Amino acid sequence: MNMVTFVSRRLVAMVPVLLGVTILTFLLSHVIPGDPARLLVGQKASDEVVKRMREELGLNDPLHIQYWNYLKQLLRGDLGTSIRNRRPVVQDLAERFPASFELTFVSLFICVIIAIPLGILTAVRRNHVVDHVTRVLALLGVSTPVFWWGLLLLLIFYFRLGWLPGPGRIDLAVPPPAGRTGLYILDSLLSRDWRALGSSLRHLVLPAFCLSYVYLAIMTRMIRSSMLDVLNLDYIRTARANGLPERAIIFRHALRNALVPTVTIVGLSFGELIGGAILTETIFAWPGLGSYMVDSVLFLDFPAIMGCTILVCLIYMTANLVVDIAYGFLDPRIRWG
Amino acid sequence: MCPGAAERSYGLREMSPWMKDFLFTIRLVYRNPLAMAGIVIITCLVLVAVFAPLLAPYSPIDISLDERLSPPSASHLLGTDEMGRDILSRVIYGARISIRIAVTVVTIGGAVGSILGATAGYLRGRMGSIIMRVMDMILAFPALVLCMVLAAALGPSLNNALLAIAFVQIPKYARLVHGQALSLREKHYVLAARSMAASTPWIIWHHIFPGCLSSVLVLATMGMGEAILLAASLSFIGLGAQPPEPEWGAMVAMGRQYLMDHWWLATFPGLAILVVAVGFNILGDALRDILDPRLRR
Repeated sequence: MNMVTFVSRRLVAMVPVLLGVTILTFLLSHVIPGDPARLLVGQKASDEVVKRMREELGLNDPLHIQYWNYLKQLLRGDLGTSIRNRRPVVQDLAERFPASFELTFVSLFICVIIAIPLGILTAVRRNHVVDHVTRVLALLGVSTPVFWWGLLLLLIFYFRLGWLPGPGRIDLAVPPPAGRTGLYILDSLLSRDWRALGSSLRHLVLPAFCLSYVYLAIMTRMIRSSMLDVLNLDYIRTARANGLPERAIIFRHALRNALVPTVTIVGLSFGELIGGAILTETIFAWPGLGSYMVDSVLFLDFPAIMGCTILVCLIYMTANLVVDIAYGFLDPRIRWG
Repeated sequence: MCPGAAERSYGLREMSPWMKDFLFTIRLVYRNPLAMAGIVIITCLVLVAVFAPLLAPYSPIDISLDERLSPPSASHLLGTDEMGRDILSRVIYGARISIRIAVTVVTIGGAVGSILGATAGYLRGRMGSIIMRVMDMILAFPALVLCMVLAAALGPSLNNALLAIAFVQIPKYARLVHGQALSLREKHYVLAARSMAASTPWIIWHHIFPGCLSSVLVLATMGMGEAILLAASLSFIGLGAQPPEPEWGAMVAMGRQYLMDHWWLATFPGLAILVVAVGFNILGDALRDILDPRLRR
């Protein structure tokens, strides 16, 4: 099986799951207490208006027809209109997406550059002080409520020490960088707007640290345990017996095989990163998808909730797809098997 | 000798394999310091919950406005909140809610998930694959996202949040039990039971479930920690416990508004969540090592 078949098979496998997700979100929007038509026209509207709105929204059609229409709408890229601000949900999501992407990408990057060396180190120096310390940190990482951790960071570094700026993506006095991507760091680099760059970087430190902390802990332990599994294999002993330097054994021979299971775990726990991002964004008033979702949920703005959910699931599934592909690259047995 | 005594003593000597295994596990847990540490934390939680009325110096809900927002002191060890309620007392009563969360979520999620997984694994065929595809669908959602949507649809309350979390946990158990049921169904004793016309529910109950018990136990222990974190997160967002319930996540949410000058409001309930989650996680970790067949014996 070559790479193209491998990837396309994975893509095809995504379709039924994605359909399932839409069925679930569709059904959920129908069990909400309250009439969507009533929500849309407001509490004071007359019954006649509500009736007309129900007709217009197709709420009187049989359920399967309604689902079919919903699906057609989705395929056109129309996620409906937000009840809260009467704007198309797609437009809201497009505005919010870059902020979330920037935050999660930077957090993931921090995780990877710290977790891989730390994981290797703790595997090679098993039961050394570093190993014990990371074990404790990892345990705390998976047990810490993200929202509480974010509040502590704000309390210490913003309120008490005043070292770092508080909520938001950029200082209010600094105009956001001009650019089309909506990623402040990239935009300010491209437009050489150093003031915006500095401000947005400083604003990113606390949320990114808050979010990466949990994930970092899981990742370090995963890399450690898969590294340990590999280091106990026969071919490593053979390499040692042949007198290869330890560094070559670890980096050239062990690491590549140890990365295969790690990559899977990174993908699987991507969901935790998304969950963490929702809470982090809420704490740091980060104008991304997570805080948008929380606002919509509290407002019972169901078109927005559904749109957000579908987008987040799509991102989650794409992340897992990327992981599968990376898996295929790292381990030829999977591609050819 | 009464009839049946010989049979009974025979039964004792030839204990069923999983019973023997279970006793062996308990001995290993006893010898494992990490597992014991987890058990100590969880036992403390249970004791605090049971004896909350005796331990708490004040009522967890009575308002006393002239004492509002007072910092930790001798009379209020952890200070008071925006309504003048004693935070220590609220944290103590919160232990009851945490246990309710852990037990409800794991019981519902574990039971439904195990039954679905065992049925799918034992029956295989179309029924089995339909069940497992539905489980995959649920897993396509990040846990917190699905919890939020479900809790919002059901209406914000602690019980609804627990239902939502339990629902999200179902596929984890289903997948685990499904995998094990697939291999257990080929065992000779299952074949023997089937050849004697044992009914499917009987076989699942007597042969499939006991075989999955140890790994379900590990998942359930870790699941309790996760359930507490998720429930606290939902309450923090505003979709779980509602005021004035002394739920830890909701307390942190309330404390957030007073964070700048009154740090104790959010700090202590959050610390309680952390400690309890650590307890369940180290116990789960230790149990996994103990029950891992590769590391056993």
